[in-house]
Formats: sequence, C-alpha cells, structure tokens
Amino acid sequence: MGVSVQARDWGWRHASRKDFALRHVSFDIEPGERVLLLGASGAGKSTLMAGLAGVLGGDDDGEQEGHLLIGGAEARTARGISGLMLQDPDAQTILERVGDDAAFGCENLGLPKDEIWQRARESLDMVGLDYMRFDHSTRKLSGGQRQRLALAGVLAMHPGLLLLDEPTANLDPEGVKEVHDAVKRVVERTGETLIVVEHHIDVWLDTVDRVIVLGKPDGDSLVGGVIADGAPSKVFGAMGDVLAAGGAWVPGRTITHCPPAGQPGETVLHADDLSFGRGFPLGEHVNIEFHAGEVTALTGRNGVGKSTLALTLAGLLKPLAGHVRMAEHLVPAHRANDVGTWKSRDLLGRVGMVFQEPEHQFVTSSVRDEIAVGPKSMGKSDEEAYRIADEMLERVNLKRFGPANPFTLSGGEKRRLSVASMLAAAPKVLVMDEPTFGQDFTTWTEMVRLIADVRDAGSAVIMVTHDEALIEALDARRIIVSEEEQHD
Amino acid sequence: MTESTTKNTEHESSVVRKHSNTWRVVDIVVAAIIAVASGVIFWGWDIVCAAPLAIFGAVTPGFEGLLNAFWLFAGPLAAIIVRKPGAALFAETLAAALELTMGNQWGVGGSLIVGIMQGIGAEIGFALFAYKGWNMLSTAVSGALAGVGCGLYYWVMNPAWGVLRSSIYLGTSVISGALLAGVVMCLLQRAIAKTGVLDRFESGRVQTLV
Amino acid sequence: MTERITVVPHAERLDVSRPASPSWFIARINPVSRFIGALLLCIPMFFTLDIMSASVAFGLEMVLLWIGGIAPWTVLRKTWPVWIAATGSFVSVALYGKASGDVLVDLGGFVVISQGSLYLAAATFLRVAAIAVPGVMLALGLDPTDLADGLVQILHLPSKFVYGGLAGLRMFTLLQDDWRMLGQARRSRGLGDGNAIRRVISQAFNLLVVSIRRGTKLATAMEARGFGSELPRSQARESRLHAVDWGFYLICAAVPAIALITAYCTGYWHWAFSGVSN
Ligand SMILES: Nc1ncnc2c1ncn2[C@@H]1O[C@H](COP(=O)(O)OP(=O)(O)OP(=O)(O)O)[C@@H](O)[C@H]1O
Ligand SMILES: Nc1ncnc2c1ncn2[C@@H]1O[C@H](COP(=O)(O)OP(=O)(O)OP(=O)(O)O)[C@@H](O)[C@H]1O
Ligand SMILES: [Mg+2]
Ligand SMILES: [Mg+2]
Repeated sequence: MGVSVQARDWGWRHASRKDFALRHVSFDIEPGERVLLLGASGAGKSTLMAGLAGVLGGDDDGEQEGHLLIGGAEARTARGISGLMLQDPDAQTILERVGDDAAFGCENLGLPKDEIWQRARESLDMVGLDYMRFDHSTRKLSGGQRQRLALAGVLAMHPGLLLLDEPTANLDPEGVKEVHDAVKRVVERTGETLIVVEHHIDVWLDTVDRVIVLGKPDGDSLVGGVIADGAPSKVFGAMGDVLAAGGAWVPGRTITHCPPAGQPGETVLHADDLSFGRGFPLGEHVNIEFHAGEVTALTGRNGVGKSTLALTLAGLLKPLAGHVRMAEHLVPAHRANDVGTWKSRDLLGRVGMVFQEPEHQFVTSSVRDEIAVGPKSMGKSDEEAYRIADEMLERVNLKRFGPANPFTLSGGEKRRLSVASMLAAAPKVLVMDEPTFGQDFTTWTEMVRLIADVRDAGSAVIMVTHDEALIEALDARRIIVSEEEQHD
Repeated sequence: MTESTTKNTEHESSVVRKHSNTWRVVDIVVAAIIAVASGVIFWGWDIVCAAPLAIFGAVTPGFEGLLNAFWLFAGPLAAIIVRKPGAALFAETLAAALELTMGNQWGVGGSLIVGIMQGIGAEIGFALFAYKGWNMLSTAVSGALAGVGCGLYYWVMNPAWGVLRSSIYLGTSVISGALLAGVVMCLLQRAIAKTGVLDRFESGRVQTLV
Repeated sequence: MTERITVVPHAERLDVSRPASPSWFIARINPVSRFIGALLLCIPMFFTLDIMSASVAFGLEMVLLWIGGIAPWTVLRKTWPVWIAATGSFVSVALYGKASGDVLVDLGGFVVISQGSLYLAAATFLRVAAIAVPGVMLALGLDPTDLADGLVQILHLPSKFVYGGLAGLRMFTLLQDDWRMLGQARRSRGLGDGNAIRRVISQAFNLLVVSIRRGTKLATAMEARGFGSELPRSQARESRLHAVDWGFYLICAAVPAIALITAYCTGYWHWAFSGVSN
C-alpha cells in the first residue's frame, strides 16, 4: 500500500556548501500517486530523493529546514517504508552475489525466507536479468547490468514509497522499455506511491499522473523550490516555455542539429585483428577504422562489451590479441605503433578516454584542478592550464564549483566534469563512454556542441551510447555491437 | 530571513554540533574499509618482513619491535577518522582477521589474538581521553598502547626470551607505535580530510565552504 | 549499411566460481566453525614448547589435510610465508633464547648459542608450523558473506555491525579491480609515468580515498534499502551447525590433545611460560 508524502517548506544545505541545494519546497502527495520529478541538472532532485528516503544523514551531514513527512512521520525516522534507487549504479552493489544483493532489502524488512527468494527471482526477471544466476559475482557486471540489479533490489522490497533516481540512464532502449513496464506493473498491482526522477520525460508520461518541477539551481530567487506542480498535460501546456528555458526535456522539443562540415579525413586509429575482453575474449578478429573529423557511435545491448572495447581502443586495457594502431605520423618517436604499449605521457593529447563511471576518472580534489591536470601534464604553464580550465568550466556550467570536490557534484555535473577534463587535453582520438547520461536539455545541447567542436577541429570521436538523439544530432556513423547468433 | 541565514553560513558552518557517540551505518562501513586497507598492509608487511624481521631479530636483541608499527596503525587510524568508542578495537580486530584469512606465518595467535590485544591497547588510548580528545596526542598515546598490547603478547608467547630481550622488544614496539601508528596516522587522517571524502564525518568538517 | 561487431553470447561466456576451499571437507563446514576450529587447534599448543608435541600435531595435521583432499606439497606451496617466518623464529631463538647446556658460541655474552637454545629454536620452528599451517589452510577461500551469516546466526553478533563490516570487507574483493581502474584513470590522464615508488604511494593513497568514498556511498545505498532501521532483520540464507561441524570440532580438539598427551607421556613436556619440564 502506498503512503502519503508531505514537504513543508523543506530545505537542505550540504555540510560542505554555503548555499542550500534546495529550499522552500512544499507539496502534498497522496498515497498511490505517481509523480515525475523534474528539474535542471543540479536542481536538487537527488538531494530531495535522499531526504525522502531518510538517508541524507543527520546534523553531521548538513543543515535541514522545515519538514519532510512520510505517512505523517519525519522521513528520517521512517526508513524501511521507502525504498530508494540511487542515481549512481556503481555504488549500489552491496553484496558479493547477485541473488544476495537482490535479497538484501527484503531481509532488512524482516520478511520470511521463502518469500525473500521468490521476490528476488521475480524482480530480477522483471528488470531483464533473467539470464543471471543467483551466485553470479556482482563484481563482473557492466554499468547497465548494475543499474538493473539495483532496481531489482528496490522493487523486491515493495516499499510503500518507491523512489527511483534516473533508473534508466545507463540502459539500452530495450532495457528502458523493460524497466518502464516492470515499474508500471508493480505500482499498478501494489498501489505504491511512486516518485521518479528522469530527464527524458517521454518514457514515463503514460505512467505518471503528476509532474513536480524544481527550480533552476543558480539565480538566487529560484534556489530549489517547486516552480510547477500538476497533471502532465497542464504543466507542459501552461508552463512549456518556462520549463524549456529551465532546461527540461519538454515533450516534442526539437534538438539542435550539428552535422559534420565535410567528409571524414584520414584514418587516425584502427583496430588490427583485435581481440578484446577481460581475461576471456568477448570479440575476436575485429578490424575497424576511425577517421579524423568523424563521430562514431558504438551501440548495443547492456553487457555486450562496449565499455571493454572502448577501454581497449583507448589503450587502457591490454588487447588479448592483435593491436590498436594510430596513423604513422601520430606515433610518438621511438615507440612501436601499438597504443597499448605506450607510456601514459604518450597517450596524452593522442588518445583520451571518458569513463562510464565519472568517479573512476577523478584524480584530484578540486573541480578546477581536475580539468587543469591534462594541460599541466602536457607541459603547459599553470597559468595557461587554469585559463583553459576556467573556460571549460564556463562552457559546461560548472564555474561556481571550481574549488568544490569533484565527488560532491550531482550526477549530471560529474558527467560534465569528466567530459570537460578530457576535452581540455585536446586528444586526437577521444573515446567517450556514455557522454550524455544525466543531462538536462540545456547541458545536453552544450555537450553536443562541445563534441561537434572537437570533431570539427579534426579529432576522431568514438562514443559508446544509448542516446539516439545524440547520434542523430551529430550525424554519427553507427557501429552495432551484438551477440553472435547462438548455435545449438 | 533568507538574508540572515545565508550570512550565517557564509564561510564556515557556524552551527556548533554536539559530538555523538552512537554508530551510524557509515561509521561502521568506513571503519571496516580502513580495517580492510590495513589488513592488506598487515599481510604485505608479514611477507615483506618475514626475512628482515628474522635478520633483525637475529642480530639485535629485540629491536625488531621497531618494525611492529605497521601492524599497529589500523586502530588509531580508524578511531581518529570515525571518532566513535570501540572504533579502534573494531578496526584492529577486523584487520587482523583479514590478515589471517589471507594466510600468513603466524596463524590465529600471531594475527588475530595479538590483533585483539593491540586493539584493546589502542582503544584504551582514546578512552583515557574520555573519547573527547581526537588529536595528535591522543592518537600517539593510542598507538603507544597498541604497541604495549603487541609487546605483551610476544612476551607471553616467547617464554624462551630473556628479560632484557623482552623489555627491549616492548620498548621498541611502544616507540614505533607512538610514532607511526600515532603521529603519522594523525597526519594521514589530515591528508585524507583534505581530499574531502570525509565530508560526512566530524573529522572532515574543517573546510571552507564552497 | 550499418557496421557490426559480433561478440560471444552471454550464455557462452566463461564464468568460473571459486570453490569455498581447496578441500572438499573444509568446504562443507560452516565458516564460523573454521574460525573456532583454528582456535581449538592452536590455543592448547601454547602451553608447551617442545619438539614432540609440535611435531606430532604438525604430522597429524598434514595427514588430516591429505585425507581432506589437499596433498602435502600443495599445503607447502600455499603456506610459503609460514616457512620463512618459522626459519626466522628459529634463528632468533637460537641466538637469543635462554641459554642452557653446552655453550657452542658466545659473542660477548650478548649472543649465546647453546645446546638448550638450539633445542628451543627447533621446537619453536615446529610449533610455528603446527599452529600456522592449519590456520592458513582453513582460511583459504573463505566466503565473507557466509561468514557474516554465521556470525549473526550462530554467534548472535549484532547484525548492524556484522553486515556493515561485511560491506566494508567487500571492498577487499574490489581492491584489485579498483587498483586497476585507478591505474587506467591515471594512465589516461598522463599521470601514469615517473618514479615507480612515488607512483605506487600516491596511487595507494588514492585507493584509500576512493574506497572511503565508495564506503560512504555504500552506506547510503544500504540505508536506502532499509538497513539500520528499527525493524528486526530476517535472514535469507540459513547458517547452521551440522553434524559435520561437530565432527570437525572433535578432530580439532583431538589433534592438540593427542600431541600434548604424547609429549607428557614421553617426558618431553616443557611448560612454555615457566620453563619447567615435567
Ligand atoms: N554530498 C554533497 N556534498 C556537497 N554538495 C552536494 C552533495 N551532493 C550534491 N551536492 C550539490 O547539491 C546540488 C544538488 O545536487 P543534486 O544531486 O540533488 O542535483 P540533481 O538535481 O540530482 O542533479 P542531476 O540531474 O545532475 O543529478 C548540486 O549543486 C550539487 O553540487
Ligand atoms: N570488471 C570486470 N571484470 C570482469 N568482467 C566484467 C567486468 N566488467 C564487466 N564485465 C563483464 O564483461 C562483459 C562486458 O561488459 P561491458 O562493461 O563492456 O558491457 P557494456 O557493453 O559496456 O554494457 P553497458 O551498456 O551495460 O555499459 C559483461 O558480460 C560483464 O559481465
Ligand atoms: Mg541527481
Ligand atoms: Mg558500459
């Protein structure tokens, strides 16, 4: 059964920030209502979700204003009534085996053993992990598989309040549909209250009966705060323009188109009879070429091996056989033409990699330093490096976070930082793993422009992505990674 | 109203918070992580030290105690980071258990039991300050007492040792504990706090706000 | 035409699961029993320091392990650090141990090698082996999740601490992956070269920071699924002691008992703490 949710002039300031992440938030949600929570990247959506789940912590972690009530009780004390799927799939695998992990939430609710296992299997099947054994190691999961597992763990709990923070950001199109159907089925059957955060509104329009929009994060008057609240048709009808200006992916928006100016240039990177995988070959005898001034999109189902291939192409994972080679004139002096054998310094400026998990990439403790690292190691002066950094921060709308710790940014902000820090090194080949997940419309458009700029400056861009709009906007060449037909 | 609250929180949080001694989930997890990292270092030290320790022990009467600090630091480090009663004992014991599971030359006695004794020592160090002093001094005392725990164990374990040798061993353990497990760990904690990952802890809170 | 890269289907991907122990017998007993067993095996041995009890215990252990499915040479290979340590203690006791009997070497009264100290050294060598080898073999392949279940259900330790600790312990299995990932990140950022020692130290510090970071988020994720609330927690996996566990305890108690009795009866007994023979 669903529970009611009330926010009474609620606000939260993270302990390390001087500004409130959001403030003066008020709304009433009835039991069983299904709400889509919108807002620009950094508007405080994840913070609100954490607050509702009662996991923001106490006075050690920040400062709270007003009240958040779940079924009439303070959210902090109501843990167990709500189940939250966090935005970052990587941090949510709790136990060592897939089955145990899916069962963890139910154990905390004190359910009987048989029911726990039944729910665990059911929810794994629902999120499209039906092929996964219970004793599969959670270490060996791809980004999308992790996200599905986290969702399964929360769905299995049948919480009175289901909180989903960008549940489909890393999923393939089929997975998005599966997850949507699964969630819809669950809430219809159980009458749970649902709050879901998602930038791509279209997915959830048929499921939700209410939209709440949080204000833009910068611009003092609007800090946090609800700026629109009501039925989807009403909100989008009446407020379409305001929302669009605020960066929401309002239905039916036209995307900016940035096609390449000319034909692709020479081949800058090619795979030469390449076998890739982690210990065990996933794909063998791969021969592909990537050209200057061209964007190539690698697409395919979750877990097929896109990230593994991308890491191999970027010279970060040793090929199991074959080589990744660059154009002869780009090979550093006294080195063999084999990217995997190069020194770290040789890769810089030649091949850059944006990791699927932004946090895996951070090597410094401030946002500004993070971008300046690349230019500095390339021998630029500090002054020059920081000038580049500031320019980049301006473009990706992170200027005010210069001295902040990269780990404290919001999901979308982290993604932008990780992309920007790789762009600052201006590599000839830029490999990006899901560069646009978690972006609102404004920041997404800016990212498209950034990628287009890199391409037009003559770099080869390789991106792993599930984002169709991105592929279309850049007129990217498309390579599908797919499983072989199974022979029996 | 908005004005004044913003002012208040301009640079450093002006809210004085009371220290709470109850364990949050995050305290447990982070203490365990420090134990894990330490356990791995314990184990690495077991292997690295197998030969030096033998030589040291062989050519000097008990000075190998100086090498002990690398098995003593888990408790003081975890305690100074999470700042809860019991953190030192918890972390040192867990680290020792992990060291044991990874397989070493000392088995249950020389890894787990001694680990517990070291943990109790380290814990007493902070208890002496009523769990209110979380600074270099208390960490050093804690490290030194962890050294006492270790020294006592080996005294009991090595009845064949002469008194002189045992005393030197105890003394050197205490010195190395106070220095490495105390002073150095306190510095390490400050370095970690600087990276901002401790923002959920009291120990990581002294920072200018962004 | 769209290009295509084909990969191995999911069902055909290699997925080896690690056995819980190299021994079929140990793999069947409860992880908690493994710890208790190791304690049973080792604690009585502390009472005496003599060649007889140590070698009897060690011999029995090797035979039992062999019966349990681990051949002696495998045991020797997997316990190599033990042998270095045992040698170390041998040298140490030989040089500094209590002198008695004929003095063989005397370096200014500081280093005295005597017959007595050589005997003690040999006994220490054997005892270190007898105590450490079974501990190592019992611990090999132990699954932390199963151990945690046992600690909660059998020893009734508080589940908040056990599972919180377990979540932290899981970082251990991730250390290797995280280390590799940090290496990749630093490599792609141009920080992967230079002085190897400095690189390792700074990467190790980074690893600690990343692990703490991961831990704080993990704690949030656990709480987001209701962990740490007031509700009583139930158990999805059952951890119980079976007949085989009791049998195992019996064996673990019998080994030192036989060893000590043999030593006592053959007159080798040597009180470890007071140094008095019987
Ligand atoms: N742990 C933290 N410490 C300090 N500041 C934080 C922390 N988490 C988030 N913030 C800040 O709070 C603000 C709101 O972040 P939040 O994650 O709630 O945004 P969001 O709406 O979910 O954005 P996105 O769509 O990008 O995920 C951001 O400015 C962010 O930098
Ligand atoms: N660190 C790892 N160690 C071992 N195996 C892994 C690891 N990471 C992923 N795998 C496995 O390798 C395969 C390919 O994973 P990869 O991350 O390349 O997939 P992907 O195509 O990027 O998927 P997604 O779209 O979900 O990110 C998967 O079957 C996964 O289970
Ligand atoms: Mg968010
Ligand atoms: Mg991937």
